[in-house]
Amino acid sequence: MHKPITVIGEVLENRMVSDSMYLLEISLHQQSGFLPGQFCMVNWVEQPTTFGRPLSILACEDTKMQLLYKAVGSGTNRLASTNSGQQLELLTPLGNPFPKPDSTAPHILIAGGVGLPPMLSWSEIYGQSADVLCFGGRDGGDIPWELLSDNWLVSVDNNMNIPEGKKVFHGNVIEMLKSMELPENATVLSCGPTPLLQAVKKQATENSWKCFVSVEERMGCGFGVCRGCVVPTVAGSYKTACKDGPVFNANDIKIGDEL
Amino acid sequence: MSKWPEWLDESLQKPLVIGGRQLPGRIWTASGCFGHGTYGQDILSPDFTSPFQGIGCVVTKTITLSPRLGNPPPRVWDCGTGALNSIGLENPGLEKFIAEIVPELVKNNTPFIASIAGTKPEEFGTMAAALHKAASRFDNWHGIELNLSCPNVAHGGVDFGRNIDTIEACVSAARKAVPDRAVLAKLTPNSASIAPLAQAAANGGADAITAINTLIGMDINLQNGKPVLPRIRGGYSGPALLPVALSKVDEIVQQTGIPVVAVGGASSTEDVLKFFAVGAIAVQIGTAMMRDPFTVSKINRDLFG
Repeated sequence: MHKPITVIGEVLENRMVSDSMYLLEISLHQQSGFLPGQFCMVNWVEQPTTFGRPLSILACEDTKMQLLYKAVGSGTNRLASTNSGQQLELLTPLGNPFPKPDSTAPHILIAGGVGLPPMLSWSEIYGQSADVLCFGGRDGGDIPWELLSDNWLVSVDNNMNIPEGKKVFHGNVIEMLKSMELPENATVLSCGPTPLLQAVKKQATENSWKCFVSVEERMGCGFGVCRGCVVPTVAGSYKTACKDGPVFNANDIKIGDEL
Repeated sequence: MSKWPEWLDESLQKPLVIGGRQLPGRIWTASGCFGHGTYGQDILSPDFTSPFQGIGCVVTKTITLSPRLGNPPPRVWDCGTGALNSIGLENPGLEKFIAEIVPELVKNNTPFIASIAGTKPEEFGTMAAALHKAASRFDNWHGIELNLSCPNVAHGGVDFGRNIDTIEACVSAARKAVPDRAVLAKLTPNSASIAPLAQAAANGGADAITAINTLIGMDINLQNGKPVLPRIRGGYSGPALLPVALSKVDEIVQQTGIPVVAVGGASSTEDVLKFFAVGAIAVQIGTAMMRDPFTVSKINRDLFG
């Protein structure tokens, strides 16, 4: 795995790829890399915020990095108005990635909303090993169509704004999954909102699939020292999303209001 | 290049001595903001240095006698002007700290001061004695910091740390157990006056005061109108604290003359100079280490080369 570095980067491009999602392209002053599921802490060189913002890495090769995010809070809203040429400070790559493909098992990838980056990068890096690719969004406008190859099965809660020629499943991503004939002994990888991860874990348990999820929690440092971003474990303790995760075996942690 | 200003007391360039013992440097990490000093070794700066380069001392995350699970998430919140935290003294307990963390700090030769918290004076004494027994043969162990001021626990914490008799008794119990290393008392700013608390700690035998811990604060999530932290109130830290911390450090120095290790809101070399200007003998960096793990390293290089 690549060692984490603190590095300055210049924004090359920061544009909307759906009505809620931004693709941020950064030119790093030093080489870096990543594995699917790892993240970086992003802050501004000028007037930094108290904490950086954790963003999942979509791609990082040599000095070029791509991040995908939604503007949902004060930090990501500020990021959305960051222009080309502005400098960012990054601590990257951080956290544990999704497991590499296991050749004995078919892989089902399930992404929801802004949980797309690790699923997309996993499917691109390990290509042939991703057998079923599912992505769920609110409606057609919520889907970053240009990033999704035809191999992706897309579900929408609301059947509006679907571009011509695009097929979608009307319902949530779990309902779409249930409507399909699925492989046995699968390994499922998932990233997205907590209710999605909870539903994915339930499906995996019912089907005896191996299940790995990437969790999101409010973060302070990003490298394990502040113990801010904890996730409750089945064993009754807490683990940090940043250092012990963000990818966990779903059987090891409690997701959402799970008892 | 040194940023040492003409007006600054040149004796600060001499080695730091607390309680008759020399410490490696004057810029430390604050308790709770750099873990136990066992993470971050693998992070590299743009010039491939480690965050540990130039760290005077790591004050480890506070340890209690028994393990503590800590508070439910969310535990941290960026308020824009600073940070709120409600970690709740999550820690593995004294026994595990001695068995697993101390050996790692020794192996890495990380200079450290162990932060401890108890619910009564005898507990501070018991913990200090156990640490002394386990660590006094190691040169990189430099002492203990008594956390008399955590805002995030139901018992002990701030209320406990506002009572001068309790402060004196806790420090005294720890001092007896640790005669040959630094004993520091970390005090709360959540009191009208801090000098009497510092005096009580000195009466108990503290070599120096660590000032200040976090302010008590809360924030509201405008998406639902509710407090952002499950326990409602938490510890408020970050750059906004600097003027408060400067005032409290100045108060202790002016009114008591007891040595002060300053902490609260410092994130740059300029901030550290302000603490030195009011008489601090060393400065701890807290919240800024969470944003940039090289903060201490950079400040130390700026001032001490």
